[in-house]
Amino acid sequence: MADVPMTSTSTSTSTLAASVSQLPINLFTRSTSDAIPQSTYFIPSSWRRFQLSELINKVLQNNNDNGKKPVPFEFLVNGEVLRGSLENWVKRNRGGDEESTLDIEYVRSTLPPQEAGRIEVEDWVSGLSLNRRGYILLSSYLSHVQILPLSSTASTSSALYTLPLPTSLGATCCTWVSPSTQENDILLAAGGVDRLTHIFNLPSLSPDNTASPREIYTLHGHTAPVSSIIASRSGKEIISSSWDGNLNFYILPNIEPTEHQLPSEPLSYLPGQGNKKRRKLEKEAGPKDPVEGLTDGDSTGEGGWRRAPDGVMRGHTGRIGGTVWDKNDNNRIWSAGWDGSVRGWDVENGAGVVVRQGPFDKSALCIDQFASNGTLATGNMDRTICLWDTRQATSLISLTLPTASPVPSITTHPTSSFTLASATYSGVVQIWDIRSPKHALFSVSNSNRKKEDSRKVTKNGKVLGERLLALDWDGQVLVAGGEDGEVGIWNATGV
Amino acid sequence: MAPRNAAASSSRVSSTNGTAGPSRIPPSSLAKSKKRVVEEISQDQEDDFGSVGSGLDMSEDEDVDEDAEEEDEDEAFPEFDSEIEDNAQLAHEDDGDDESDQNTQDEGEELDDEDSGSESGYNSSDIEALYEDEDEDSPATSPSSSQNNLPLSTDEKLSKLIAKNSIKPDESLGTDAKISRAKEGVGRLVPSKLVKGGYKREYDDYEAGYGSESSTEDNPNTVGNIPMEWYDDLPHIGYNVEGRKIFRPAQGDELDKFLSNTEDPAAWTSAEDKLLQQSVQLTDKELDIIRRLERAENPDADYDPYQPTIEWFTGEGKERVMPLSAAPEPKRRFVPSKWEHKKIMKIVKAIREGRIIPNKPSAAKPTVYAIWSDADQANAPHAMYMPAPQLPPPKTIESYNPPEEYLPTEEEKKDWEEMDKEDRKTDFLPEKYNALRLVPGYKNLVQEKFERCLDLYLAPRTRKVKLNIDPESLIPKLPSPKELKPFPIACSVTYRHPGDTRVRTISTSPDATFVASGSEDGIVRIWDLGNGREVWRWDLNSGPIQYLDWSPYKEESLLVALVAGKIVVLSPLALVAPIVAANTLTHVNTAFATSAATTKMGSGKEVKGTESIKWVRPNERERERGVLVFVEVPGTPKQVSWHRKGDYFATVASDASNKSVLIHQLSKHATQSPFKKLPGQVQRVAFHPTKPHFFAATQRYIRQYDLAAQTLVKTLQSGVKWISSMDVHPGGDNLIIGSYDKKLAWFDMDLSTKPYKTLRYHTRALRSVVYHPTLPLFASSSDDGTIHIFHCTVYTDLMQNPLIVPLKILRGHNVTDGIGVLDLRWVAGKPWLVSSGSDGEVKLWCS
Repeated sequence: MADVPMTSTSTSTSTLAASVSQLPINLFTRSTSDAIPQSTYFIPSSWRRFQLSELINKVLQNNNDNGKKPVPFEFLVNGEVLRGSLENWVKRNRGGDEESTLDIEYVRSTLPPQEAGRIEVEDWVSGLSLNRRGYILLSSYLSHVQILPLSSTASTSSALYTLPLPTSLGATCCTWVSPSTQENDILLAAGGVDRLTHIFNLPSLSPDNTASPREIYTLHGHTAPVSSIIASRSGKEIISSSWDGNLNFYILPNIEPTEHQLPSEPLSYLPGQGNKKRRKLEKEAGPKDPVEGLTDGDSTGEGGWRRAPDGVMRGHTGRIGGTVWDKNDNNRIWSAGWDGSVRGWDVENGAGVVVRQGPFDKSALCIDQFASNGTLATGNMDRTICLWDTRQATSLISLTLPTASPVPSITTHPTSSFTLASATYSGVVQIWDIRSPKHALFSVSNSNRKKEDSRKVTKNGKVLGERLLALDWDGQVLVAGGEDGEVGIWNATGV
Repeated sequence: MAPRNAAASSSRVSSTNGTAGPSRIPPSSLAKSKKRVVEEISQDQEDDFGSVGSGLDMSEDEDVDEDAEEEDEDEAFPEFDSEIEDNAQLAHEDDGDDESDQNTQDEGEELDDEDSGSESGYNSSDIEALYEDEDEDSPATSPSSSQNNLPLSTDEKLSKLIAKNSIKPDESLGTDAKISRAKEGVGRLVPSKLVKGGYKREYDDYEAGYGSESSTEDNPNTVGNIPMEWYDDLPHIGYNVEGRKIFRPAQGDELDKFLSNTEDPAAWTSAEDKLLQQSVQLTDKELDIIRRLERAENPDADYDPYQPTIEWFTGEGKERVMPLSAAPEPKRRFVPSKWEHKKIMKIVKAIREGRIIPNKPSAAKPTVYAIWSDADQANAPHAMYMPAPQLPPPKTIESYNPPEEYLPTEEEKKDWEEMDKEDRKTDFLPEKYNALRLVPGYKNLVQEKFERCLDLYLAPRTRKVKLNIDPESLIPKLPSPKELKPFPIACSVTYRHPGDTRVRTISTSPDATFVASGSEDGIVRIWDLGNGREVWRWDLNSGPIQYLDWSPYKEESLLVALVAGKIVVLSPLALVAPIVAANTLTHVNTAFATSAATTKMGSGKEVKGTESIKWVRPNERERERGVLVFVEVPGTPKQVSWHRKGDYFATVASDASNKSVLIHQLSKHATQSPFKKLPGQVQRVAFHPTKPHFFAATQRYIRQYDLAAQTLVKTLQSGVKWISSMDVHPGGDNLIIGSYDKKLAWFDMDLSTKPYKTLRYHTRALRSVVYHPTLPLFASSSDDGTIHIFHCTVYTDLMQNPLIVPLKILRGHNVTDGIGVLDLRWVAGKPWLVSSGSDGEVKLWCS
């Protein structure tokens, strides 16, 4: 086998000028299917990615004769994607030293994200979920949770369902609660600035459904706005995290209860006017004028059955940025907070199992986990993406990816253990390969599109900007939205 | 020490005096005597030409001078002898001293000098030195006897000298000279009264010839030269020689005087003798003197100004023919001088004894040289000394006969002549001469020498002292900003305000959750700190929001906003936990509950000057939205400062005269005006973070008051022209102010009332300065659109000054209408900074 590349290189070099210098190169990969025999190859320094990729395909005999398609490969030198010729890289990074051996890792190339469409929504997008194939779950600061069909590529697709929250303070996050296989009585959750987690019941997603969705539960317990909600795989347990630093654990009942667990919270605290009297007055006077900024006309008003948390996990000293349910261990969740710590919790007893305290100013805004190896990734306020290896007791931050602005949302690739997507406050969606940590693989921006028809202010007077707040990626489709009041849809395979 | 030294020195003086003995003559007299000896010697030298010796019999034509000299001195020879004796004694004493060697050596040197000089002999000091030894011998010792003592080893020259001088002069010739006339028997022999049978010689009295002199007149009064009015009150006017009183002569009164003046014709030629108190008739001679003095003539009547000249040498019959005297050479010219003989013998003796070494080398070369010693070097020049530049040594080209290759060709000569004088490589053209005598005069010599002189005296030959200081070393050693991380670096979040409005003020909630901003459109907005979402707003409809401040008390959520004429207490009730909202409402509304009225003045009692201040309850709709209280105050309050416990807050309204500073108590709805009279226009106020103290900053001064004792603690002098902002360090001992004249001053209040540091980094007026509540950071913002971040470590050790390190300049705000960044706030617990600019942007700067 080893002589094959040598002959190929010799044939290719024979066509080139004899004076072209050659570089010793070690080519290796971490994927087993694409491995080629380990050897040092002498390769003309003028070669670029294309030639190297052809070389590997030749070695792997990926040609039409074998019934395989040639695979494009990406080449990483010293954690950097090879963009020009080898010669250029050597000149730039090694000062023209052409004698030492280069270790080049090759990975299957991913195509850059292709913009598939944009969906305009009324206000800032605060949360996105793609967990149910074909639909986008979206929460916005207009206190809406919307379900949008993903199939249509039209930019003005109307929402299938719009579920308003009781108050108009805004929703901060949303998630599907029921597993994606469940077709009826689908539960979904949204957290709000009103400190509550709202669980909605969606009778069915089929277009011929007539039953309207409703808020079935309202989960109380937080003293500050909710920052993230995660649901277990079974859809029975919900954990919400909040700015107050607590993680609340709720178990949803199997059958709908008939009474509230908690008294309702007063909407107003005016002295000398008890709530009873107020309610009475309200009933007498009909629908009350909405409190400006707190309620508006389209809210459903009452909310669902009020429930208290079944467990509270305390430990974070500041706002919790994000939570993630461990993708391999159903009894473990991870949370990252503004205090710079990443904590692992045992769901059953609510105990903090793992504490990784980073620098106090490394406030985490979001967290996700690589499914294959369990590495945690956080997006931070200090413009970094950090990878946390929690399996080793000593290590803290294993890798730092520098970005240009804070990272409010990251999503790992569902299957790959190297690729993740991040959204930043500068309005850029980036796809990273952690093997090349210096630069993102791809950066797509939503701010470079045409501006003539763009809105400056939403209908309720909020200024639109370029910041992205939410992002989700299911390995095929990437959606991101934020301050611009739009959801951008990209086709990005990642691997 | 000094007295002891003095005593020692005095004792030394006395001891030397003791050894010197009474015979020691004072140096002045010594010098005088020496001088006299010199005169004598010189006279001797003169005598060498004329007479042989003064001691020998003198011829009649002996010099008149000598006679006069002899007349001056009592005795010629004894004086001379005694002088020699004195000198000898002196020399002897010197011998005893340590310096005797030096003396003899000096004398020897002088002797050598004299040797090389004239033959006329030795000068006086040598002779004196010689005489000391001779004194020991009898003066009559014959030189021949001394010759016997001559060691055989003396050289020939010396023996010749001795032989020449050892001829004994004829002493008998001189010794019998008539020194005294006593032996001549001039006087009469009278039997002595004292010695029986003895006779004594009596002489005739001399006629001194000065009996007529007035100075020798008998003056009967012996009182001396005293003012005679001392005796005015006494009956006598003095004492005569016998000591008896001389009584005052009778004196007439003024009338008698007048009468005598008129009657007595001689009265006008009489004078008053004060000593005898009587008028004395002046003699004709005296009158003549007076008359001469009046005419300015010589008072001597015998003086003849026109007396004929006596032509001593040219007059008739007095013509002199050279030589002056035709007398034969006197004998003394041929007879060896006895004194010279004595002197020579003295020298011989000195040579023999080795005290005088003839032909001694002047400075003996040392036998061993200290080759590393620099004693023989010339004195090291002064550090600033710079020798004159040397002329370069001559080169071959300057030779009168240079080799051929140095000689210029015709072209070179032509070029040289055409060139300007300044451009020429050499000042001359080399020329070849076969012999030195053929070289003509150098015509440029004078010019060259002149220029050389100019060079020498116009060239400033001073060493210029360059201060060789590394400018880096003057910069204080500050830690690198990298070591002081974290601090705000980049803008992370922008809180976007709709429309085009200027955001005057911002405030961050104590739990680092919300940012409140107050803009000129009269809206207070609450923003999510993390992502910049506006979550709540109050439209106060009262003009621009002047200032905002969250209460530092974390159990409540209170925000005070200032608008024109009103203080508004706000609380975002819907955003906070129910328990916090309940606490807040309880705190704020307690006073409303106790008194149904909506207006309240003072704390129960009437406080003067606060009548116009009303605490007003907003309507229900406003209260639902969290507008809790209005406090109506005079003027437009510009700043509010909370007490750390969250019950009191102070407001400043610069335009409200004596009610500009107000302290409000929220739980009682009471307002106090702490100052009856204000020291000036108060700009900013602040509570001390730990003590019951209160700071008020006027335009130039910051005053610290003790609220409990109601006293002024101290006045800080800022040295700036107009204070714009102030913040107190959370430790309480330090304070920073920003000023409109671009300065930031840091006060260490334990250190001084003057600024510890005045930083002038901004190019425009400062708008805001803030300390971080927990981290060692502070920031300043300015109209130049920049925010400066500083590190400040305040040490608990009182001896150590605070460390201030400039860290970062944050740029990002645009300057609009000449106004830049208006307000700054730190985020509690994080190294994050929120800033608001006049461009309507509020930004969060993260590490």
